[in-house]
Amino acid sequence: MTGSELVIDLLLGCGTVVTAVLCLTAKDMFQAILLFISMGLLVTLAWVRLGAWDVAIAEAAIGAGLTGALLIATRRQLNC
Amino acid sequence: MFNNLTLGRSAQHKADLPVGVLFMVALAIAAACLFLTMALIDFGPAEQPLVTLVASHLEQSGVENPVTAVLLNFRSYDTLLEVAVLLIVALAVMPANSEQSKVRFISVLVPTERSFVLEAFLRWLLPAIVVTSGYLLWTGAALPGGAFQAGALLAGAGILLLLAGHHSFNFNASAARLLLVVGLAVFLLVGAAVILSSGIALAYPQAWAGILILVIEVAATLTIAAILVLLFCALQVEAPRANYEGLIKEERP
Amino acid sequence: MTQAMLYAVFGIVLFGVGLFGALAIAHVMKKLLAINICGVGVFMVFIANASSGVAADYVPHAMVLTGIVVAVAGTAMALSLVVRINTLEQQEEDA
Repeated sequence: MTGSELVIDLLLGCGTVVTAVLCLTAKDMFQAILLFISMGLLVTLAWVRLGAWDVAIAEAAIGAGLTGALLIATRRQLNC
Repeated sequence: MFNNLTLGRSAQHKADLPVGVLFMVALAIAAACLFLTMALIDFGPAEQPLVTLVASHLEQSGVENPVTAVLLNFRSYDTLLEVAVLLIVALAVMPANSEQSKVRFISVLVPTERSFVLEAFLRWLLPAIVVTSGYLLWTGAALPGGAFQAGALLAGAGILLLLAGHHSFNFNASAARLLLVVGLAVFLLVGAAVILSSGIALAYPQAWAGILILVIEVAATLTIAAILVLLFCALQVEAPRANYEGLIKEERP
Repeated sequence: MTQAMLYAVFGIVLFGVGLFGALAIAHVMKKLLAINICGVGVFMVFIANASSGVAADYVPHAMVLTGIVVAVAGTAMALSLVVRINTLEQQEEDA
């Protein structure tokens, strides 16, 4: 593993963890949902780095996209 | 710890857990994570007997993409049960209304507020999504892609269509019910039919494996897309008319 | 430290963050987000271990694919329960 690859992996991993923490500490629910979607997209990049292309496509479409849509729809219904 | 579930605005006036308890929980979880990490480092590079097994049997599976081969041939019970889980969730969230079974699956309505950007965008996007989803389904035999990805994309198209406000879906219609079960039904039928030739459920005969997997995948794609759109429908704010009544109720006090 | 090991450790950290969130946060929807984060951590350990050998192991990939779809189905189920609880609470307040 070369140095630049290590930097990318470290950035992706740390970014994912930091986004997850921010998502859970966010005051506003909408903010939390957006951060959760961002985390899904970062994780998608992590799957690509690990060579799991099928999982990456599924995560981008389902994990980030559809879960986000479901969460936002629920938030609108609850008005929170 | 498990009784303090709160929703929305009422969350503020209910007190959170005491700091001491939170600290203990954090400590316990940190210890568990440390233990897991140590175990991981101790474990070292594992032997992977499945790698050679998958590689050596890939030719018999009927597809070239190893993930699709595992999903729909080697471990097809997993996928079968997963489609069943999806169907159960769909049944759980489905609006129970037997009167609506006469209403058509897709009805056209006049949106309360129009978003012209979204509408113009959708004219280009929707056909592209449908074609891409078909491509993902087809290419899943050899390259990354497959039924789940294609179904999720199609569901995305359906949700965008709903958001534009010109159409509404009624999942109690018979056509919709057919879409919801076709994936599981085809999967079960194929799984049972191959008993005739191979004697074991879901063990496809080698010559037919490719085409059988494609048939199952097409049906599963439709079902997955329909169920995911249904989940969104069930969670979305109700149709404009019901929403209007809700507004009146809110204004009363 | 190899790439697989790195991602596995990040997966474990994500799991811990999610678990703590699921136990400590009172808001139900945030609890759900936390459980989802927990799941992502588990998936990451799976995929990282799958790529640790000479050749990629595709069985965990398929299992994670299944897991992602089941996770979204479970989330949707939980969200519909949340909506139901909310409606019942509002009815109680109105009465």
